[in-house]
Amino acid sequence: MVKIEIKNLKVWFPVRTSFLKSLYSKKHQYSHAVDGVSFKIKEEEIFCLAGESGCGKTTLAKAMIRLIKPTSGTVRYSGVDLLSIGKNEFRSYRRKLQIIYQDPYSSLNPKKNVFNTIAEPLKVHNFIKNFSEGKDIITQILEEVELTPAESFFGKYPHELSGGQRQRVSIASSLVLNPDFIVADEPVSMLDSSVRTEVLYMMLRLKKKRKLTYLFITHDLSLAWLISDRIAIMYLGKIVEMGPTDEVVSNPQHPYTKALISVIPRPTSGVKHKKIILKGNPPDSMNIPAGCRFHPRCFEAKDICKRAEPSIVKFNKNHYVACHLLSQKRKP
Amino acid sequence: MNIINIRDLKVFYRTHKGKLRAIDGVKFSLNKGESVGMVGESGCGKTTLALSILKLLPPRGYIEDGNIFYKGEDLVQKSEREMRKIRGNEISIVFQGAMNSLNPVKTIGEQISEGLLLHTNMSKVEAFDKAKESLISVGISPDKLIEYPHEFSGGMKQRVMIASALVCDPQLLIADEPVTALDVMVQAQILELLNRLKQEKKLSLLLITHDLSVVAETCDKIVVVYGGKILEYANIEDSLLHPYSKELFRSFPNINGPRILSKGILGTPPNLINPSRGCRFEPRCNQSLKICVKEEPRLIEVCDQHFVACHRLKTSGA
Ligand SMILES: Nc1ncnc2c1ncn2[C@@H]1O[C@H](COP(=O)(O)OP(=O)(O)OP(=O)(O)O)[C@@H](O)[C@H]1O
Ligand SMILES: Nc1ncnc2c1ncn2[C@@H]1O[C@H](COP(=O)(O)OP(=O)(O)O)[C@@H](O)[C@H]1O
Ligand code: SF4
Ligand code: SF4
Ligand SMILES: [Mg+2]
Ligand SMILES: [Mg+2]
Repeated sequence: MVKIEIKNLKVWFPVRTSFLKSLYSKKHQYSHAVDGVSFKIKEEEIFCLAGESGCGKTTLAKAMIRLIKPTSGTVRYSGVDLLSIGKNEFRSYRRKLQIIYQDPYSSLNPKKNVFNTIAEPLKVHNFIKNFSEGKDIITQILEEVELTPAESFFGKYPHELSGGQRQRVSIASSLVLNPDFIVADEPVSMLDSSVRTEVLYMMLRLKKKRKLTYLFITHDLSLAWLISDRIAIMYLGKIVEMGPTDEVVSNPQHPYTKALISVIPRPTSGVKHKKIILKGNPPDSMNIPAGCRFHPRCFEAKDICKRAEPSIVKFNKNHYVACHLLSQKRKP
Repeated sequence: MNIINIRDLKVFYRTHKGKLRAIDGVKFSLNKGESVGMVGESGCGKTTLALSILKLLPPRGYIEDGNIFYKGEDLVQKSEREMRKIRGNEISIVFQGAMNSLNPVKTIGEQISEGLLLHTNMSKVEAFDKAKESLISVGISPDKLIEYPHEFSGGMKQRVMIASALVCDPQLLIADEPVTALDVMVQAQILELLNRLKQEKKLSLLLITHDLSVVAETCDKIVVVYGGKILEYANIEDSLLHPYSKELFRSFPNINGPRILSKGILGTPPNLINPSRGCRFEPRCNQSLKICVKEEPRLIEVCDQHFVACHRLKTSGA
């Protein structure tokens, strides 16, 4: 069963240009943060979105759960077209779709203790009438995220918690409304390595127990490989490769994916693998190159790449790639 | 020949709960031209050690005991004035999250040449030329010299920090988490840069990180720190032997290995105010012996140039 499906989703941000520029050009400038993305995530799947900083991962995820208004495209959640329903109707879906942010330091309110942080969404969604009513629910959710004894955490403020504990609190407050689709936006990238594995382990346990569907965002491909079922590689607002994680990591087809996989640091020294280190600046969503948007940094670019944009095509069962090399390969 | 030789170093912080033993008897040396990676969980004392070498400890921190020999001279005995001649000139540091500490109202060129104006008799013009050279060596175009930091991405800012750390041609570079929180591709670019500088400038490098993979790819040797102590010191090709190092290694995803998520190392880091008498890792160790609670294991050489502090490994070298 498909949990969530997006079709040709676009998010363009209007960019303020200087007064001078606006005099000689009436055209609005846009940042093409998400530039036509389609995929489906199945129920109880872990779908990973990976790519460099600024490629549009967070914007895409926020648009999927209506935290940002998409410019065009559709989002279907359990069959319902989320973008066409009104605000009031959306409210009942709101609690089903939650997000866990990257930085536990800035996503928690420093002036709120753990109890009130978790009680807040309960109150907003009328699960409880006052804060004290939530005690049982909050105790239970804190135990689920392994902050025990739960009561000893009630009165603690963010600055009294370690990074790992903070992230557990924000996970608890995302889960307390019993959502079934979770966007996890780099949930462990700010954590120390051993704390990182503990939090990930817990997230996977919660997924099994609560039958969650995850959209997991990361730029760390080794982590994506470890936990996800399928992976999509994003570059400048578009998906360039998508498929079962094992297959994409062991047999990458798009030059960009090949580069990303080659630079994954490996804990075993000795076997030196060849790294493809991309030159040039990270991409800029305000100036998207013509043709294949990756061509200025591509080490396999051909003439056609400057002129025509490759469309995403099937390479293998469930494995899709957007690169001209592929269509050429397939010709006899 | 060693460039840094640390003997029984103890560095404490005064806290309202008592003395916090952040570095508690550390002994190690770094040879000229060598790169050593220091790994360990957050709070184990990595940054404190780096700050001690440069004597930049915060007011509440102090060196309780021990020596830090740099080219045979004990830095612990040196005055602040003498240290100023060494910092940035002979030994440079790139701090954790340093890229956010660039001055927003000064150009990149001004900031890189600052060290030169402080340590040499160079004129402003000469210093600017040298800054240009340094910027090019970290892979940034020289026309960026007159730009301001806000026009730079995180990765570029981090390179600028490296450029200014290197502008006086130091002998030793200490890099504290230089790639943490950076994007994978930028991380790869910075590590490649460090590798290149190591070869071209014969730079000695102390790389501090919690990421074992980064050390494996950049360093000649590895030091594993836990609760203010060194538990293991080995050549990067050697397999790690200490139970803690092994657990740490297992908790890293390795795309060449099996696709299993480890549970992590259960338990919490040790209390540094009232440390236990025995092995500091004992409460979390699944191989502990009776003696581990009572007696602290000493760091001994179990085989050639490979040191381990664990009661289980005392005899394996013999
Ligand atoms: N509110 C906004 N207004 C204008 N541009 C924006 C806005 N939010 C994001 N962008 C731009 O959209 C692009 C994608 O940003 P986004 O935050 O989605 O990237 P990301 O892939 O999540 O990056 P990171 O890995 O750094 O979190 C970037 O070029 C960014 O500058
Ligand atoms: N200014 C300070 N005052 C008191 N304690 C400190 C201070 N700085 C660090 N510490 C303590 O010293 C120990 C080592 O810290 P640090 O060197 O920063 O570790 P690392 O760099 O390995 O994460 C920790 O227990 C930390 O809480
Ligand atoms: S289409 Fe051309 S430029 Fe784009 S990734 Fe493929 S080879 Fe490279
Ligand atoms: S000394 Fe004992 S407790 Fe410490 S690591 Fe070795 S076996 Fe484990
Ligand atoms: Mg983001
Ligand atoms: Mg530190």
